[in-house]
Amino acid sequence: MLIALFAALTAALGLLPPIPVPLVPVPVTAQTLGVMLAGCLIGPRRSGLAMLLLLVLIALGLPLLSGGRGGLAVFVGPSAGYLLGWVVGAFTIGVTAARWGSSTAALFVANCIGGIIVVYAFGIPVMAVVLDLPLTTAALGSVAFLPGDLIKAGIAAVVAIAVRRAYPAAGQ
Amino acid sequence: MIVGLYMPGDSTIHNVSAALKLIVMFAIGTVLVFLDGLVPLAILVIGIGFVFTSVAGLGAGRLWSATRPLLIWLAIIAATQIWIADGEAAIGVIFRLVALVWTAALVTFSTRLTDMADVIARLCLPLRPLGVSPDRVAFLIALTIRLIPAVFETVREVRDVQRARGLERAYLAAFVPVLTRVLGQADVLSDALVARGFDRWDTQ
Repeated sequence: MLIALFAALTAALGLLPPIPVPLVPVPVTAQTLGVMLAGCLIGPRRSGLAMLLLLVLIALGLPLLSGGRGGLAVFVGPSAGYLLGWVVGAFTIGVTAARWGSSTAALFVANCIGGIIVVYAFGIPVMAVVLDLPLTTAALGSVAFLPGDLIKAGIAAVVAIAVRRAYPAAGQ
Repeated sequence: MIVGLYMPGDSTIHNVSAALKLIVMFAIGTVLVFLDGLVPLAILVIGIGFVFTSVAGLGAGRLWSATRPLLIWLAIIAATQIWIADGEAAIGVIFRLVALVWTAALVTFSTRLTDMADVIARLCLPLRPLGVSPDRVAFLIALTIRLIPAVFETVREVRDVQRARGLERAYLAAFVPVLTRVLGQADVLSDALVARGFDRWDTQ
């Protein structure tokens, strides 16, 4: 059930309007928060499956990505790699969060590893192939998203700790 | 309510099986990798555009809505390719991307969600020895589609509660109550499913 609920939650976060953040050139959508929150709260296996389930729903033709995007087209576009990165990223956050205890700082680090490094590690090469760019140029382009993602990693860590306190069963 | 991207119709494309459409899509994707030269690429793009708008009867408006999210990428391609290569390379990359995205959008617009779900369930069949049951996958898909509006409703409720207390702009403060409610709903749902004969393990 947690799989379905966190897939639904990540989809619902995509329905929220993007929040403009000062000094960040690209609009920050709440959707990757869902990836990090799932990883922090429902463990590696379930968070990975929740993201996989969300991708299946998108592939079936539901417009569940932020901005109402969806369908098979997003899986052949330049940002397809980031979507696949969500699955492995959420799993990685789950593994890291389970191993390194439960302080806000530890979860922030877990979110940075899984939600940023792993997601970018999938996203950047795919973008480079689709756009026929050298890897370094594609990586340079992703830097624009880094401030927003760092903020989200922090938010997700703070929120996840508070939720664990309110709901001790979470995160196990 | 979540409305899918499917556009009802009665064209040849609509009536071809979802599996065949997906196979053709992968075939076009493979051809695109090996296809060289701007003229064949241009012919392919125009052909796909024609099938999209006329044969499938989806019209130019739909084609535009499939292209619009790409515009920023096309601008990036044009800028970077002209910088590192030349204009010809830029047009080649753009043609490939547009052809692939149009094909994928055509499959999505012309295929019912249930038909696509059937293909996914069939793709899961070889995974049965690993403990993946197509029925459970289909059930999870249906359940999640139902839960998205429910979760969104939870978000709206929490925002309303906070607005009533003067916290209109406390976006962050909303996350914790939303998540605790969602986790609580998971327990309720899990109990409801166990009461209807599902295994406790299945409902975790």
